[in-house]
Amino acid sequence: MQRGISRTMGALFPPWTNTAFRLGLIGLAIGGTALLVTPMVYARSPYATGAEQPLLQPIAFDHRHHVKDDGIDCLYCHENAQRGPYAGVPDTTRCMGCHAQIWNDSVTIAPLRASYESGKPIHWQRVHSLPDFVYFDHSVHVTRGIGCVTCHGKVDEMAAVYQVKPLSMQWCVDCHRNPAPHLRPLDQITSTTWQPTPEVLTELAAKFEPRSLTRCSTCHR
Amino acid sequence: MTTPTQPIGLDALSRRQFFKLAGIGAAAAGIAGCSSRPAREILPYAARPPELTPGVATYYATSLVQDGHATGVIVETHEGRPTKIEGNPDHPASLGATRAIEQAAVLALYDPQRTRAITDRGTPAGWAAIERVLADARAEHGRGTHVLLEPTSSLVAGELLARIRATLPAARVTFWAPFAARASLAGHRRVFGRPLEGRLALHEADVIVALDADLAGDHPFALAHARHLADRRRVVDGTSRMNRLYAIETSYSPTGILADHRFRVRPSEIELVARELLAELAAAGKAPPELAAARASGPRARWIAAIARDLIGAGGRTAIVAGERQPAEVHALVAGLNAALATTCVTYAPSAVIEAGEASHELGPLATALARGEVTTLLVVGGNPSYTAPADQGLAIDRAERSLYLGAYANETAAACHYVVPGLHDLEQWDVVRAADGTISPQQPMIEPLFDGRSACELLAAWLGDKPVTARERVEAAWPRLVPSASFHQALARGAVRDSAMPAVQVGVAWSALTPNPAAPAPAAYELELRSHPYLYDGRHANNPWLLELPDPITKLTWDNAAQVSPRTAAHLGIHSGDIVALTVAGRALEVPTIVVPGQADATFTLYCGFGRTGTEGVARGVGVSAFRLWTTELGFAAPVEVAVTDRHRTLAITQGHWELEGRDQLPSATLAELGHDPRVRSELAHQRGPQPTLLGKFPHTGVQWAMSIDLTTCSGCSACVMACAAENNTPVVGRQQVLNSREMHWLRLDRYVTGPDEDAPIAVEPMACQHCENAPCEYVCPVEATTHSDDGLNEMTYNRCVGTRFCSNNCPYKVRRFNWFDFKQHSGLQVLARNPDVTVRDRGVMEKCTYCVQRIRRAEIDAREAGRPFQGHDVRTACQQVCPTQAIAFGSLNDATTAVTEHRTRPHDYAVLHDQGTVPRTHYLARIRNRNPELG
Repeated sequence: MQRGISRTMGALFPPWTNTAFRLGLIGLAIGGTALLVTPMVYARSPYATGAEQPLLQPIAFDHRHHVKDDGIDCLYCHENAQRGPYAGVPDTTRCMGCHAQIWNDSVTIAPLRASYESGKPIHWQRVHSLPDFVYFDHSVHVTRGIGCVTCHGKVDEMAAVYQVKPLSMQWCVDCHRNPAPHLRPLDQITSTTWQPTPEVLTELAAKFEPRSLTRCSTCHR
Repeated sequence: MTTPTQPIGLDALSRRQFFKLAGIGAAAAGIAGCSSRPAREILPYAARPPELTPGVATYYATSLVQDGHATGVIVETHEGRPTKIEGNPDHPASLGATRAIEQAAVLALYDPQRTRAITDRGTPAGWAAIERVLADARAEHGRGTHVLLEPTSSLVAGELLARIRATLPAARVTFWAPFAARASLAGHRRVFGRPLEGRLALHEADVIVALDADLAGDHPFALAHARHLADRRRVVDGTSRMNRLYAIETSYSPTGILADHRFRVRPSEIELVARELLAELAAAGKAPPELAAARASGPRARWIAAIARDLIGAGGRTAIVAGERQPAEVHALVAGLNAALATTCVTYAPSAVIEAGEASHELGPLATALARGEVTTLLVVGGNPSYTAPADQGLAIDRAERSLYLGAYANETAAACHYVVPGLHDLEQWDVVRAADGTISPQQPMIEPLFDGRSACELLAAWLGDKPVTARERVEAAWPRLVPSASFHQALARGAVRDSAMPAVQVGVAWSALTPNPAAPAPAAYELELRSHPYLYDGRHANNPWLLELPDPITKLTWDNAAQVSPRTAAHLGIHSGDIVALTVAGRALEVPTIVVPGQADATFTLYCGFGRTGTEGVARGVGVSAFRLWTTELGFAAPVEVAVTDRHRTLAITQGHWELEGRDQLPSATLAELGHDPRVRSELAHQRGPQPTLLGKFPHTGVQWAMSIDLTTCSGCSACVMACAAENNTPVVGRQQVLNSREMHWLRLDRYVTGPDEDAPIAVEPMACQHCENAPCEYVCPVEATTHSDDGLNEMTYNRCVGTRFCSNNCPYKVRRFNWFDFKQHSGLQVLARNPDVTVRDRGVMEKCTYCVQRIRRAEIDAREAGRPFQGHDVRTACQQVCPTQAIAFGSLNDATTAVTEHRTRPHDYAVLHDQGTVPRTHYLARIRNRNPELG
């Protein structure tokens, strides 16, 4: 009986369908993985994190010139980085401290003069932006041995400032789990060229006693 | 079908078109969601003030004023924006604490219904128009001009008023506030011959009798009283010494909650109780014998005799206090009682509030002058007299030829006056005022006036025709004259001038003034008691949604006004909470819902004033009914009332909906004697603490381990902590409907427990917020690890991880988690300026709860690390702890033997709520201990 049936009916699927089915399975696996992986890759890409994108600022401020050529320390303008949570942008009077004397008739800094005269702030574009539910404090990092360059990159080589690091939670936590290798002496906080040696790092770890701070409320409150 | 005029009508939308559009919409939403981060700006200061670091709060001392009584506060400002108010520890009227009202003042500053521009009958006008009105009011020495102010103690205004009375003698000055403390002045004038106020040294008193006096609640010096009372009630064990507080009152007050014995009496009986107490003292030879005739008989006799013996036994360390709502007669009797006991705890001193001749604090003459059309110019400076005037003295402001209102809010009086000038909030004000004890308290602005407001002093100076000066110049110039002994800048920094209280005066009692009155009329069937609302006061704070949503200390009612009635009277009348009754006093009727409250005197109704506002203030409008409509100067705050039950009902938004304990003793209470000797009580308490069998590992106790301890013996239920928590943690307001749905968002609630079968219904209050359990049931069930435990013992809530399953709330045995069912937060408007920038503003669909003020902990940790100090946590105070007038809350590290929390854990009445659940909560409580008079059991 069974033999009879198999004899009378031809194969329902021709042999190539096996290959097609296998290819389909592989395709499904690849597609499924891609569906999962693509957003993960995307979220980590500079496009999503906003890294490596210089922003158009109201004044074409050049850090290369001010930091590298003139040798102005980061904390001369961003002094609040060692005092409070925000490093911030210097107020107009800080800029005018120099620019009342030099380049005071330059067209480039016309918005600065306008702000100085009107008392209205300059609308700078924010380069490093954290979500509102993240509480980052500059001063505790700067005064406990974490340097500017660790998060902001070599700003002294940037024409227009851009974000270097992804500022993602994973990136924060990587350092928070083990901050010791990122320490530097307080007199090298603003240096962009200082390099650690193992002996110095041991010394710094003893001085700053860095702790692994991974409890949620360290940053989320 | 589509037509040219109707490209895609909904009616013509085919199924296919619908899916097309929906698809486009979904794709557009997807694309929009994928866009890179939105552009954000940084706006630095053009010129940064030198004392300001962006992101770091600055603190300034100033004073908030109510009816001329200043309370010193420290205001937290962020970039020049006031966000939080704390008490000023250096100010004698604050001692570091505030009430709920002061906590909410920061929201009132940003009230969108503030007066914003000078108007003339609703159309914009300039200051020049006001100057013309004032110039006219100067003519003929001010004839026909009346100025109506709020009671004030401002030294600057005092100088101006003295000049006004000298140069404009024909003008009349009246002060008005319905609940201003005037009765004690009149009563003391009767017995001492001069108007004086009592000053209490409650920290020295062993026996205190509060006769309808809410010492810890609505008294002008309540914060100091609460602290002084509580400092003598901190029970370490059964051998501790405590003061004994008797509260004799009609409706429950926070003082009644604190009391060891509370007696319910009808309003008309308060005077009898005072007389009978005096008679007992006279019978014991402490007062002239002719006063002994009024000795009590009937059910009161037993406890009045016992109180009298207790008072005599205390040897002069006693204080008897009458509430300001009581008539002058009662204050005179109480002065006699204190004199008979030769107490050292009550002294007398002049009032800090300015007088402007005889009867300057009565509304009657002004009401009459208005009705007769004798008022040419009426200047109303602050307050809301159109709303608060007694029913028999309605102010016919429209009968004045010209009327001008200076005030910060667009209220009923602003609507009744021709000219409206924006006034100032206390946080915008320069002034020099006095506290209730006379302490000189400077006011300095935290922020420039938001709406070009002007102060009362500026208006009075303009009326005098003075050259305009800035507010600061006026105060700074007057300071050396007004306060020659103190430096202006030191006083500003401290918030008070040291030792500037009014000195006490020697007095002798004229006993003849206390001869018994003719027989009191037979008591009415029902009596009505009118009280100021604990948060809205006389209605001035009724537009503040924080205060409207704050549950009443006793009734737990929000967003409404209801007549309180005792369970027995309710049963007798056949009514339940929410049933509407018509109350009629002297022919004036008012329909109000009732609320059944244990501990209310039988056959009485208590109604709070401050509701039923009819002005243009959007939040206040239509909430409750105005009890002022039943208030007449003749009858005062207590009157016979006729009651008619209607068949209508209003569902009341009460936050305590559960009335059963299911056999659990969640708030143990005992007497001091039982705590010392009763082994049963001691073992029952011991069963509610200590180790429980568990399968879970022990939580590692290393480093700082946060914990809280709340002393229920000193908790009065005043709710300042709830308000402080909401102000600190950006808790949203949800409105009456959502409160009815049990969706209120307060992280801290005060559970009210009736702790005994006694008819007087002893009430105790248990503050309940997240207990930060070591074995937290919420943490096991969170599928996304949004709620976790920190190594320092905090139960953390990470909002951005929460997906809103609400499993945690279901699994929480304390029911302290709050879910954002809707987008409750405010998105725009002035009010968002009141938010704390250090706390995340939560979104819809997110769970939240008490964090032990983790933002303050982390801030202190950062400060310690920056300074290179070891972090011990001694400088961390939670918002609820900091504001508590009685300092009932202790917070600190369990790993530190020097902290109060560690010491509280060793006391015999330490317990954990739902201890048998094995959650190991970090918040413990100290059981409620009462120091009962053995004679009364």
